[in-house]
Amino acid sequence: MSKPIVLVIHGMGSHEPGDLKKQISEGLNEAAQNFGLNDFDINEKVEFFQFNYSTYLDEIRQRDANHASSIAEHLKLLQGHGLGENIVTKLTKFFADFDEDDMLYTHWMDVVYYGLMFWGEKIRVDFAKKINDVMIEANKGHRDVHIIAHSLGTAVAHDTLAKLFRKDADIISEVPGLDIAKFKIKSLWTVANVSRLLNLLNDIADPNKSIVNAIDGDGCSKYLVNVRNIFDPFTWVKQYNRDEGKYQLLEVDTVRHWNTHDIKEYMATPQVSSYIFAYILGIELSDSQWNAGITKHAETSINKPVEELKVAFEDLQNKPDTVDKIEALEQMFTSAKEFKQRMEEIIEETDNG
Amino acid sequence: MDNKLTLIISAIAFLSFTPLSNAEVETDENKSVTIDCNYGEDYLKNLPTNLVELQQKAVKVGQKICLSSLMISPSESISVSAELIYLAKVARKEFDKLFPDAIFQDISKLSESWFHQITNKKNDYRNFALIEATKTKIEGMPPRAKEFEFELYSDTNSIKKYTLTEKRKDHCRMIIENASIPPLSGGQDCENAFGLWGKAVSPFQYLYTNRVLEENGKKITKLQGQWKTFIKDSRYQTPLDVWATTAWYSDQFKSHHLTGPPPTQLFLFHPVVVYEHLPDADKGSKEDVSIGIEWVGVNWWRSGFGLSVTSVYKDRKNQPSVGTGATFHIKNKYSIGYIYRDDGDNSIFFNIDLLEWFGDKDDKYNKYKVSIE
Repeated sequence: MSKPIVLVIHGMGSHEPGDLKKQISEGLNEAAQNFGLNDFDINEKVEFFQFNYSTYLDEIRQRDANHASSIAEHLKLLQGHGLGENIVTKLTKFFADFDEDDMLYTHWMDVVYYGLMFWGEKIRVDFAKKINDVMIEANKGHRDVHIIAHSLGTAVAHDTLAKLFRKDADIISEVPGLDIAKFKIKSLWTVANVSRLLNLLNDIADPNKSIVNAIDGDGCSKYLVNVRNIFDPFTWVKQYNRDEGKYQLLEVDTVRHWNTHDIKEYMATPQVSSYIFAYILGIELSDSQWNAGITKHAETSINKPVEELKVAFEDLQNKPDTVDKIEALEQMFTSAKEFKQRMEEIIEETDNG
Repeated sequence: MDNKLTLIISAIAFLSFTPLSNAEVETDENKSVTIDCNYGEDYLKNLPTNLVELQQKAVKVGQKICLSSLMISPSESISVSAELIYLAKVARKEFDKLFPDAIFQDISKLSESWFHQITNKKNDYRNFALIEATKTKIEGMPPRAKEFEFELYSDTNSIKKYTLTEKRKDHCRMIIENASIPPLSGGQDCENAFGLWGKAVSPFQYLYTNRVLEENGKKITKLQGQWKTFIKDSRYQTPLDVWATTAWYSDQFKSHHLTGPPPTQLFLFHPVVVYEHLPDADKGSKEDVSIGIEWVGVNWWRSGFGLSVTSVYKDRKNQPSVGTGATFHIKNKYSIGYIYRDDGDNSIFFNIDLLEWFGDKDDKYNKYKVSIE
């Protein structure tokens, strides 16, 4: 099999195995259809591999929730038998909060579990194994390896690559490592990059200076593409923009749904999909195909000028940069919450208007 | 190709990456190593190329390199060197033919560097590499590849960049057409043209590179095993405990290499429910359940021993509600402690899991529940 290998890693929240591959495929196939590429299926052009860590984070979250509810259960039993009602109520509420089932809560906890706890290292070790396995597979058929990382996955990918790849790796030592003089990732696509925010929490390697770049002789990748939607609130805090080497920033400003952070939405945009087609697949679109793609994608976008949208979110976008961990986290999640509310109102307004 | 070439060499522990010409080998008398120098049945099916003769030579040399990396004898290393030099000569010639200087100026300097790399510096596994090629400088909307470059990853100065002119694109297209190889999935014409050479030469380094990756995979698997053991054996930690442990070992986790789990676990404000025995209490309430908190604690999870400073709380008629003492943790599961109270009514306690030691856990636990309901 000569297909290029594309290893994908998901972002925050719960993901069933195979979900991300499906979302990316659907987004790219939709874009291909808009461009008029007939009988196109990305799954026939590349071989996808997926790394899932959300199942593990879900387990940890569940275990913590179980422990908390078990303590809460004991507290209830002790009410009136050595513990007053007031204290039991307060403590029970504290422990019950661990079991909250809310999307933003899950996202928030994923960031905390990965960024502030040693569980992050366990995930990095597992992802490093996946990368190594994929490199073995690629070596068999002299194939290229590309990585597409989304959201929190951009931080996991960055930190893992920073720990796995190195200059002058000592292969005799017990420490795993791949030497960049021999091994490289062909291209790394970071979509809605939050690696700088996570670096503030775990301090592993500064994404603006690490080996995860596409500078000749210095980086673990041959080509680095950073993708962000200017209306994606998760990219507003500690924005990534490493403009060195073979680096490409793809900024999109299309909005079709309040969830501008969604990977499928990113993949469906003409800008992102056309670069993936050009670099990974070697498909260069004609001007007419490009124009058709732009027009069809715009038909499904909300009918609101970009400049007006910019004004609507200006205050959220331009918050001062912070170096405080907790403040940065709060900023990201409060902005996301506020963004969702305002965007839903705008979409409703344009639908009615 | 299908001959399985397996060597079982006793008394050699770590040979996989021993440089070809390096006579010093780390040994371990108690271990034997099996090295499979077989390409696998479908290997060549995944490497379609019109340069079949070159590919066959690369396959043979690749097997020799794989076997000779064991350093069986110096003479065998020399033999491989001779064959490797011959392969490199032929491969270089083919490369120069596919990408002539007339179209790709000075490209022969790169193929010359590659030739010297794989034939002159035999003591470094990184030299068993290929020329790499890729399109670069993707620009515009719709995007277009403007440049194409060749390089050796091991030598930054080796990079040769070429603007993708129509002449060069036509040349690459012609190579593909002449090769009569079905269109490859992915890649621009010049990448696919280069791919014909890459797929022909790749076998010479495949087995060796594969072993480098396999060995690296084993190291990572070992770390995965350590994490698995940690998750299975260690004491449960709340998110706050995990955060405290991570902060304590921050140098380990933020280091620029992958690591295993923390050597010890720390505990901070860790809530517990304990079964307390208070000898001086009234009859019927000598044994009772209390809530407690481990203010701070440490657990050496590998040896299964830990201790914590603990307070327990329960409203009692004749004794102080709060007492403070120490908890000892055994086997990452059982905890036993001693509590001091101001009036001297001290107590011992153990966690619910320890009830197992004294009989049926469920039975004891149910009795305790009934007693307070």
